[in-house]
Amino acid sequence: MKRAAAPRLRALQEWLSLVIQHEATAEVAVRSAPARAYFLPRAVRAGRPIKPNDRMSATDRLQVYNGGYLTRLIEVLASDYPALQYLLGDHGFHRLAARYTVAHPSRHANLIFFGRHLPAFVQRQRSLPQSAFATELATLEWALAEAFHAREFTPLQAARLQRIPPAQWAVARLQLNPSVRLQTCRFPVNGYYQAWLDDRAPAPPAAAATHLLVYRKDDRMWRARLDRAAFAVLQALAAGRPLGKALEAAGGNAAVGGWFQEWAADGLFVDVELRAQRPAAARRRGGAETPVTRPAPPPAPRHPRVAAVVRPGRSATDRTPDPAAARTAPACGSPPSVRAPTAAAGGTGRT
Amino acid sequence: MQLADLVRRDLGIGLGLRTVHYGHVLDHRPKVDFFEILSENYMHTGGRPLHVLDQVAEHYQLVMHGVSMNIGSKDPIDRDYLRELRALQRRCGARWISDHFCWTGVNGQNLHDLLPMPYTPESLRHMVRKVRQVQDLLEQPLVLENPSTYLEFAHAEMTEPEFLTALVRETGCGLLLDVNNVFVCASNHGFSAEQYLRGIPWPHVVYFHLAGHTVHDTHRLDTHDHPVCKEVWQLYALAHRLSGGRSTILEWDARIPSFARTHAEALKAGKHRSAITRPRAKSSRRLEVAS
Repeated sequence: MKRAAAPRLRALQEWLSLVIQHEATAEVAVRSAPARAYFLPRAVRAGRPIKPNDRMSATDRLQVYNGGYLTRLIEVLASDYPALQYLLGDHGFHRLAARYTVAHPSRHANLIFFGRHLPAFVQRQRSLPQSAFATELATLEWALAEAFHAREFTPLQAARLQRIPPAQWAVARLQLNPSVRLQTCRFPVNGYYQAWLDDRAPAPPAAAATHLLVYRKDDRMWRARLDRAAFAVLQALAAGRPLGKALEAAGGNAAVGGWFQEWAADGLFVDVELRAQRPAAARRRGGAETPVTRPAPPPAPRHPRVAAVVRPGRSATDRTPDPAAARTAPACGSPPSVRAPTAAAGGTGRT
Repeated sequence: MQLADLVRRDLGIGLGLRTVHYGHVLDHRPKVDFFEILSENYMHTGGRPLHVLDQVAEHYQLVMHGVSMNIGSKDPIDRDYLRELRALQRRCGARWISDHFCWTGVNGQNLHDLLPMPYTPESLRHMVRKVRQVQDLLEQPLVLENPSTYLEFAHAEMTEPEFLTALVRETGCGLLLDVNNVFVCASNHGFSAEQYLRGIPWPHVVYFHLAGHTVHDTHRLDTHDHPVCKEVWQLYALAHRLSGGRSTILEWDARIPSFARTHAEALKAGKHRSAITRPRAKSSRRLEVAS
């Protein structure tokens, strides 16, 4: 009997990927058109390229991997979006996550990036109950995940702000730390999230515009609800606007000095870029200098608070023991992807 | 760093460092020979995981173990991943870097699973080329682990020990022998675990993994959520005798008990190591990394 040619490694890996990632089962997957382009189902039944054994057919063996794939990735999403899971219910979340996994397969070595498209994906799900609120809740949860993993930074010392010459305040550019996320919401999503954290079984809220700041301080995630003017100032700074322009966004709010003190104390700033001084020689030559109308600089933060405190409108999300740590765990390494594996539809999972 | 240096020094009995034990480790600094970290847990992140790692690294010897190198894939090596890996090693002073001889995805996708290689001459040529690339980029011997697998390829032409022997001979890489994975595969695929161990190129084995698994009607699943079973302890004793003694890590990844319970499970390995009297494997030119 003529022996079938051995499949090339690339073809084998592409076929296995198709079968493992199929949203139904391995049995359905091997009969799908894309998979048939590699191996016909009758070849698979005959034991090529996967050998059956006395307990499992070739597709049973493939199913171990197929079942584990979806289980594992849905658990990753559930660890990144626990409040969204609560909102949608386990069944609704599972359906959403399964569709997402098909639409956005992981393309990164690290699973922490897998869920990044979920807020936009939720927004496109018009049939989802409360889709607008669900989108904002997912956006908040992803902001927390991003803040958790944001690159390391060293907060700017308040003294450095105090040393900014008054003449430079208007043109100084304050750089926000890389964990800062700003979110404009149509719903009181932060209140819902806090109620969920507190096990108060929140119901989806009615619309009410809010503005949120998310950031990391001392390895803890913080959520702060801001008023519109303060939010606008931070938005302007985040967009790289100089302080003078950013302060215009405050609309003359008298509290602005206090905001800057709090933000500096909370480590929101990591650097300040001052306008380069013109060389003295150029000034002596009488170069035409455009007069700049500068808004009054905010008072320099002279009494920075030592530590953030929980106060109305602000709540600490202490992720200790941190659920986000599971997010960083690779699927095959440590997430509990196979908590309750079944005989043929379990996950693979360990190292 | 040469492979012989990694093989020669038995670090003792260590544990896979897990998030749920961070507090205990930092607060009590238990006496543990060494910890193995999951590399990806400390990559592409800048917050608490790294700061915990910094503190742990101050007090313990560390080794790194990853799952996303994707070394068996037909895709090219992910150089950014390797750069991050190297940076992490520099930060925590890990003695070596390990991953698996498997693939995790192709055409840019990552299935985040340890997928089996067909043991064919084509696979061997491919793996040899990629292991050499990685070792050149990391400037050290790579240590690769045998994964648990749940299927076999009809066109395989070699056993796993034969494949590994050829791979280490061509590349000089090291091996992480997961004794539980040997037992799980032997059960799933119907071969003799003892015979497997006798076919292993021992001078290349850097360390051992131990873990528990789950028994199903049709197969065993490597779940790391149970104590080590009796059969695996017996195999470990044999592996330790055949190797002359190697560093050992216990992995426990789901339904993780207290630190004390986990550590106690790891320390059972001591009972199976006590009979070792042979001198450790000596350095040889064969163990040097191919340059």
